[in-house]
Order: sequence, then C-alpha cells, then structure tokens
Amino acid sequence: MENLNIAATKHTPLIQFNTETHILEIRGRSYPENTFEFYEPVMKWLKEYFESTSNTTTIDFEINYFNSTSSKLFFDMFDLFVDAQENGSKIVINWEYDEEDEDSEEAGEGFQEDFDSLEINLVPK
Amino acid sequence: MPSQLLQLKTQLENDGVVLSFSGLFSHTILQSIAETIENKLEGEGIDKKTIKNLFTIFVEMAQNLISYSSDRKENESQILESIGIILIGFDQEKEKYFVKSGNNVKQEHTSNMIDRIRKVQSMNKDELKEYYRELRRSGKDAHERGAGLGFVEIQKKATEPIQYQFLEVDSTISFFEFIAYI
Repeated sequence: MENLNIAATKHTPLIQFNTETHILEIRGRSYPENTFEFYEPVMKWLKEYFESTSNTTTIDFEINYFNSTSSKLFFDMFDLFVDAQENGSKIVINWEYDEEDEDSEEAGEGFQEDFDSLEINLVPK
Repeated sequence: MPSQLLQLKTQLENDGVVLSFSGLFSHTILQSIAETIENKLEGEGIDKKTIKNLFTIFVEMAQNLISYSSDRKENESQILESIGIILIGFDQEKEKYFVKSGNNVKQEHTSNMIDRIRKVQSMNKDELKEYYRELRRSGKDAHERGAGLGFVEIQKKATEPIQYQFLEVDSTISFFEFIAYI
C-alpha cells in the first residue's frame, strides 16, 4: 500500500501516513473550502490501511486550529479508529497541543470523553 | 459634489470597523481576511485568546455566509461564491471586538435558523460545550458542506448572546444580519 502525503497549506494540514513506520501524522490547521471533500481520500486511505495491517499504529494529531466542520470530520475519523480497533488493530493516538491553548486542550479532552475505548494521550508542547 | 465613497469610509471608521468586505465572497477571500486578522492584531499586542476567538468567529460566520446565502453559485472551478457583507471592528462603548455579517437567505429557512440561534443564545459555556458535542455525535444538523455546528461554535466564543435580525427583501428572500461580540 502506498504512503499518503499531502502537503500543508494555510488552511489545510500536513497529512503524512507511513505504512512502514505505522505513524500517521496530521499537523497544522484545518478549515478547508469543502471539508468533507478534502478529507474524502484521507478517510478512504485509512479504511484500506486498517484492513491491511496488524501492527500497532501511532496517530499524531497536532492541530492548532480547526473549524466546526473539521471537528465533525475528526469525530468521524475517531469512529473509524474505533471500528479498526474492534477488528483487531492496535491504535495509540497522541493529541498534541500548545500548553497555552485551552481550546486545543479542551478539544482533546472532548475526544477522550467521547471515545473512552481508544487510547488517547494528551501531549502538551 | 459630496463624495459618497468618503462618506462610506468615514461612517465605517466611526463605527470602529477595521476591516470590511462587501460583494462576491469566496473561500479565497475568507482566507486572506483570516490571515489579516491574525497578522494585524498580533502586531498590535492583543492577547492570543482574543485573536483566536475573533478568528474562529470570523471563519464560522464567513463559511455560513458562503454556504447558506441564497445568492450562492458555483464558479467554473466548482468553488462556491456568495454575495454578502462582513465587518470586523472594535466597539468603543462596549470595549469589545465584533464580527458582523449579512447575506440574503430564503424565507423558508428562517424559522429553522431562528430556532437554532435562540437555542444557543440562552446557554452558558458548559451547556454550549455539551450541546456542541451532542450535535457532533448525532450529526443531526449536518448537511453536505457542514456539520451544523457553526452557531454553537460562534456562541461558545462570543462574550454575550449573539444578535440577529431578518429584514424582508421580497416575498421569498430576507436579509439575514448576524452580530457577535468578543
């Protein structure tokens, strides 16, 4: 399976999914013109990836701003992680945030509360 | 002959407006204004949280305008363009920043919008946080371009209840005016 690399722009994050290291990274800002359309290939890639791997996957989120539609999209992505985990994948999620940014910390806590079956670590930076 | 343009400029300045846009609005313009907000305010030494809240409210309002305006059209590159007006400024009396937006909407949508705005206007911060997560989970107000979370997000970041009004344009269209103070 091919790695997925999408360069960051001022309104979309860097997306780097590596099938050899099993590290998936999403870093930057997220307020695309059309959020669902932007993330469609990302979600598709993730589904295929989790069907093809038995390794532990680390997912690093470092999103310093995301709009409300991206928030819904990330929620759906976490749902996909839950499905993958129920089908036997091992997943560790790191929610990295700026120590001074309460909103970003609160967002991470919100995901922890909504997805208590997932291992989500809050990582202040 | 008195200059209308000068009159308009003076009026905006008197109202504390620092950035204004009126006309065909798209994501490209949204992005440029969002960056200007950050760069300009950071340079003026305003605290990070206020800038982020202003930025967040502006993005949500602008995306609402683009997605819901009754004038919206897809251009030849499938990018949505909508007619509207957005003002960003500082209210000297309240000593608060504001974002104001205006666009036409179909009257058939106004009652649903009013219900959704009224619901969040009366909520406190904890209730808003809870409601945001509930709506995100259920996807109840989601549609093809958005999650239906915009009004909740704007009220979460605003420091007083959001204000709105609908002014009738003709028998099917109203002008929707929306104001948030930060």
